[in-house]
Amino acid sequence: MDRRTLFALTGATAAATLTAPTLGAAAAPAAAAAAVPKAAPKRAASVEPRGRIGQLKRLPSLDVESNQEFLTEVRTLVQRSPDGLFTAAKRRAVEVLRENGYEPDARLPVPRVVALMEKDPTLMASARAWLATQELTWSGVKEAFDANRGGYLEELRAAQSRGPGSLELQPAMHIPDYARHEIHIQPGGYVGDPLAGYIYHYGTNNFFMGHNTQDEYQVAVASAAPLPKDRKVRRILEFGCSCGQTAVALKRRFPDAEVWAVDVGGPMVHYAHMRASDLGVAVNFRQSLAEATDFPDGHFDMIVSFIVLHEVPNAQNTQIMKEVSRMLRGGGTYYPVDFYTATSPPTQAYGIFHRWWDHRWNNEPWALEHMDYDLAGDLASFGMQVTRDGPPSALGGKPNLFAVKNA
Amino acid sequence: MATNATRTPLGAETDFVKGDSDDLVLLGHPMMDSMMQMIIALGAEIWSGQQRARIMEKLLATHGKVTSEMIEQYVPTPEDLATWGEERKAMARRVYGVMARNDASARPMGSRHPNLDRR
Repeated sequence: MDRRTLFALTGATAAATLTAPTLGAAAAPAAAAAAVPKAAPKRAASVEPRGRIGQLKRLPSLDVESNQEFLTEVRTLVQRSPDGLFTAAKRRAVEVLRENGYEPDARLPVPRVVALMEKDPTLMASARAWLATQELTWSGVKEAFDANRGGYLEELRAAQSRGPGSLELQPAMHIPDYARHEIHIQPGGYVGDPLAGYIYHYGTNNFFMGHNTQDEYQVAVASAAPLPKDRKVRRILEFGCSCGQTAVALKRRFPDAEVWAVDVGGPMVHYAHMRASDLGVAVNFRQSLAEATDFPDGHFDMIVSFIVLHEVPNAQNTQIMKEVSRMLRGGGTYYPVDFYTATSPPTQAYGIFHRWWDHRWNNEPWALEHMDYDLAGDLASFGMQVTRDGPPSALGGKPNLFAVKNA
Repeated sequence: MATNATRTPLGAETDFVKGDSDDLVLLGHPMMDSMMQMIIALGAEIWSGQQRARIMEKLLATHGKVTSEMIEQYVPTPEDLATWGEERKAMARRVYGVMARNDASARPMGSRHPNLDRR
């Protein structure tokens, strides 16, 4: 069964469950409410049948768990191994350039790069192998959670008002056009399936190839985030928090601070809250756009974002930076970790091909224009002092950009 | 500028841009793309079966009996995780390593037998 078929099978109930019964919205439209089954969701099986490894709840069956682990292994071999397919593709890209009269470091426009690369079987095989692991990962985790859909929806509902921490959902919130797509080709994206948080969390175990099951990358980001000079940290915000891993790590680092986390995806913050609550970590999650949060001026001492900026159009990122500056108090810090906060955008053909590929076929529509986004310029224009030699990020270990709000 | 204003809720089947990668053809014909996906899927299925067998053998050796529940609930030791990780890596490399062979050394089907060059 392919990804789209799975999506179609579960989509009919998704629109309804995203609103009234799952999220407790009193004002959900009648049409959506009418589509909700009247009977209580069937509790098909335990939602925690196999315990945890570390802080990760195990997938519901050994077969699914083993399947996912193997897909991650194949992806790692293809993508990261010195004798893997990506290495062969990179080598081949140089040959393709030479065969067409270009030097390996030629700076070519994106359409020309794509036209050259798309004719080569090795480059296309590398792309197909990657895509196969991506699609099989999504269909595997989605199928696993959909098999006990009622149980997981009930688990989410039961956790909604539970502490520690809090959850604020806006079931009737307008989702901007820029977020209405299947990001990373995740079926349903972040906003179109009530189980998006589960699917994202376990799917990204494959993405991060061994650095996600215990929140390894997110802990590294939270650990690196720079303090204000006066070291006073009462309130922290993470925006674009997805399933809340970085926010949990921030709260663990700053147990006395009030930690908030926002995301456009209601299903994401719903899952994030449940998970943080299960871990006994008090984070306040809110469904909200990063560019319109409603937090008071100067409210936060620190703001952090992790791999969210490239998922947003440049124009919205400008609005987000304006909001970041508004929310920070004088001397407060902003620590963004993203594609180009520690490195520069690619200039050579193979790197550009990858960015284009990610943009088009991994459904990251804004990743291509993000290569031209002037983050430092925006931050400076909104009253922030920017430095590029901040603490190294989790991605690549190089000095990372950070900004301090002018007093 | 987008706002948090209230509008009709977004549903999975309304006003949503779905991915179209299912229709992508990279290897010249959709069947070739499907074959690559099938081969990777098969590897994962085979590994899953092997993993079940590994746990079953371990439980039989230590308990003398095994049930489905025992297999599902088995919690791997750090040594298990390390060993299985190495075995998984080795299998992936055995099965898929050939994909990364160097194109530069590829020989066409009609090429002359190298032994003939010695004459």
